Amino acid sequence: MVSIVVVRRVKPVPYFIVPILALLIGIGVSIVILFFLTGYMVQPMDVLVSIWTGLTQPNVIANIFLILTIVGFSLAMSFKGGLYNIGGEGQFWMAAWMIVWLVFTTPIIVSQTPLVSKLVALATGFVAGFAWGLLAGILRGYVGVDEVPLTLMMNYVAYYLIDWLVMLPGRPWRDIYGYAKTRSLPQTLQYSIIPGTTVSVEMILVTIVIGFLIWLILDFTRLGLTIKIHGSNVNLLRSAGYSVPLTAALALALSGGFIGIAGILYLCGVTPSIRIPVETTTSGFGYLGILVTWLSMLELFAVPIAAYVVSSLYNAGFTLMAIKGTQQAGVTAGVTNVFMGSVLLMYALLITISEYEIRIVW
Amino acid sequence: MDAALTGFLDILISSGGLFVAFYLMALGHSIVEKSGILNLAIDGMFALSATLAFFADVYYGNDLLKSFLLPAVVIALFGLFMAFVLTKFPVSHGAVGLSLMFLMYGLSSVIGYGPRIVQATMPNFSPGVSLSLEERIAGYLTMVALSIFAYWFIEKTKIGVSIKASGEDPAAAEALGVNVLASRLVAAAIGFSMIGFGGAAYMNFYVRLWDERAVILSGYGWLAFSIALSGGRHPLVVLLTSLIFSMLVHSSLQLVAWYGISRELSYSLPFIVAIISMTIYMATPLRRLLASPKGLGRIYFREERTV
Repeated sequence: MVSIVVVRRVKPVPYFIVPILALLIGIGVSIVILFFLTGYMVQPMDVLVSIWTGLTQPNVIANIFLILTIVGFSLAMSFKGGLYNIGGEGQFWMAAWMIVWLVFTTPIIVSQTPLVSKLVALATGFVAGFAWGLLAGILRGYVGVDEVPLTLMMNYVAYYLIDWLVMLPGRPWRDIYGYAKTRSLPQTLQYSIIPGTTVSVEMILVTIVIGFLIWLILDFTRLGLTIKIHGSNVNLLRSAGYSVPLTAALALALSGGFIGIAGILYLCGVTPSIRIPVETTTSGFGYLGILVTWLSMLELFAVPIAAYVVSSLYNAGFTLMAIKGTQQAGVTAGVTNVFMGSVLLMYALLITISEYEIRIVW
Repeated sequence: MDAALTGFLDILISSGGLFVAFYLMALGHSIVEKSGILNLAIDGMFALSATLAFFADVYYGNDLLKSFLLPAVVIALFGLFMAFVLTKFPVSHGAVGLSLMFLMYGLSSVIGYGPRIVQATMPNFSPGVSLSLEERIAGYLTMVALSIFAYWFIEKTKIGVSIKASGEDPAAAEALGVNVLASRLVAAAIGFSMIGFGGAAYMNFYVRLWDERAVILSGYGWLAFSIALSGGRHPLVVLLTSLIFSMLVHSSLQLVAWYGISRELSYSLPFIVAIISMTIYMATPLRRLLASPKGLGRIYFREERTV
């Protein structure tokens, strides 16, 4: 008889083994899937070349990398609290929308010096993302609604809400040529890209500051401690006299707030207008960030490394499209989801081996 | 009054195909979750099953049997895999579910593109069937019969009780002689194949086209999730919540005409109602009356175990 024996390890395996294994096996699974589902049109070499292209061209993927790093840091904050914030997409886009709305309805924002305007934009993004996250946080903390379906459905609400707002007739943010997008942000808010790269000084600075801030909050404040205890032992938090619902609400809200800043960076540093329908034009940073956070094993210092790898995978989807062509092989942007799903699945399964030994006994 | 009643009946009848799809998915999801497996892959499963149904329609000349069987078998296989790893190993239900969801989005995207190109070369072809009035009514009646059968199966049969016991407290159930793995595999085989049937019904009886927005980005799998949740995973109550949501989704575009609200806002309405319904479920005595299985989503495994 076949026996599966699961035994807890005396000493856990080094934490970096699991994400590396998950990445390698996940890419292997993706290669097999794409090879067979595209009728052998996508060869293993194509996939490897696509991924390698991203990995070896940091200047190309730099903007995606920085945004994913911020989203990864932000999600780590709620994930450490045991709260799966899958609503990064909604928080990201609500923040982006809020700055568009503010800029075109309150011109005083952009009449300040560029530095002040940019800081106001970042603050606006934080507040918008915080508010959208807080809504989910209150329902999660005080009512007990499961945050996973809740935040996911709030993404759809955010998408459709923005689609509607962008197309409201006669509004100052409407594209003057009638295209399905907003007008571009004024130059004072747009970041200057460093020549030869896809990033700006502002994006780099903001990413570093956010990483530092989240590290400070999590490791040196009472709030950070309560968030971490919420993730490991809610009863301990309760018995210590802290409000469990408030901690949950704040963790989701803060996570949303920082993701909101990523939304502003995207708008000011990557593309200066919002195209609709958002649900079909989004790059899906809110979802890709989940992969970043999981691969980092919730270790903040590993977030940029994971973000770099995920940026390469993301870029690989588009490189594959360029190499093989959608018409020939049916390779669409959805290929990114194959990479993402495979790696995440392998990670979810392999994380077991870090603490447990699995033996198959005949 | 007559006009309102006529309007209501119109929506009721015309949303019949969607009702069948939602109910099958929500009922399948309920059976799976009654066994304690948290199914966060449901939206990916919906997308993949609808895509596979479309694939079968295009390549097998609208053969409905194949169009329903293919997604049911594929989704059931994924489900059996889920049930096995989540019962045998200390693995997070949420992480496995979400990762499978993303993988299935990707699979749907890659699989769906080919038949869509082929369909473009078939000028008079539409996937699925246009249901007649009688067929829609038959659909409703079949789902009512299915709900009664499902209720009997879960509440009155030995395997149904085993499934429920595995979801409430798998360790205690195992101590009492219930084979938790076998119970969960049975629940997965039945429940996930029903989700596959639901996705196929959406493609064949309702939307009858494949594009990323209608299938992968619609979020209807999540609506099925909240239909099951707000119906307490009870086969008869879920019948009611499926009816409400299918009518709401179907009539959302009519709201544009009736009340002058925008198309985009009408799309968001089902999701807003889903959030409200989940909130009502959690904030009212419904939470106790139609309680979730206590062991839902909890990692269950025993060290040193044998198959």
